[in-house]
Amino acid sequence: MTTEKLRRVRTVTTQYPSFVGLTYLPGALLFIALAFVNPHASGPLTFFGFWAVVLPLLILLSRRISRWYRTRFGQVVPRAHRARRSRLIMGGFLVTALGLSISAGIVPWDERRGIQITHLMWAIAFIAIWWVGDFAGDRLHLPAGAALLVVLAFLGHSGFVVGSFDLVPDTTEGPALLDGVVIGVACYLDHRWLVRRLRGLGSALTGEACGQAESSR
Amino acid sequence: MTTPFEEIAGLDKLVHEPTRLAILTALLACDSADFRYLLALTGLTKGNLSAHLWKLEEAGLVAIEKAFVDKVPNTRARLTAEGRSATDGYWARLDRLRDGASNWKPDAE
Repeated sequence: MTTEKLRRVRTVTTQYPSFVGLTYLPGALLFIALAFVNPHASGPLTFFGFWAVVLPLLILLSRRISRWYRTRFGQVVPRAHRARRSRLIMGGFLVTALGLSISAGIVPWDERRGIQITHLMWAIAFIAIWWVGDFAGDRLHLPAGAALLVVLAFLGHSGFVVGSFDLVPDTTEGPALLDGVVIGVACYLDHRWLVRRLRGLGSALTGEACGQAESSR
Repeated sequence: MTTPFEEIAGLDKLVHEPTRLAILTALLACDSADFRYLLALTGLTKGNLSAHLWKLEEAGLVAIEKAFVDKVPNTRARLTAEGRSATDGYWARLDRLRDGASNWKPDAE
């Protein structure tokens, strides 16, 4: 067995607890759903009704997905210093979200500011996850997703005009849909990252074990 | 003075076996990992992985804990202090051997 393969075993195991995969997919679905809900609607599905129904469903879905990962790929408890780093990030993230929610209640934001802050929080989350995974070079989809979200936060739809063609329509629905797609793609790439690494390693290790058994006969 | 190649023969066979080395290296990178993860990582069959873990546990390198998670039996493996120092020591020795082998010249003996 080459030391390169063993280094990969170590890298995958180190990064596994910071693995996102499809568990954040409900976040992407939330953005996509938001693109189709009119905040000023007065029908049976009002904007607040939407939050009351969709949010618990998405949280439930996220829990189901993470449970599927646990049963399919197992669980790894990180070393103490890494666990502390994760708790620090999660705590900071929750405190910031709570602070922003309270401030939004006191001083109502305009829609654009709200969208910017939501984008930035997602971008920070992706960078933080990348940091917990030691800024791995093969998980560049995380900083790429974060960079795209920052671009969307500050340029919005106006940043996507090519010549006379507006790639994202001049409505709030367009950016929300695009955000959902960016988050969804980043999550899917993280999922693919794990599946490829594990399958590749498993077959490499088993192949060598079989080869050794054959040669020892 | 022994050559680097003679030193290879002195490596701990229990740790040096490729699959067990992969298991120990994975456990060195975390606090603990469950049976399902090690299965996915190594691509071994359940029986094969159990046999390797049993050998490592018998040698005192790995501690096995069994519990119920969501009403499902869950087996976790972690390195003991002895296992951690044995795997760390093995890696340090392997690095020394690699350096020694690359600098080794037959005339120097």
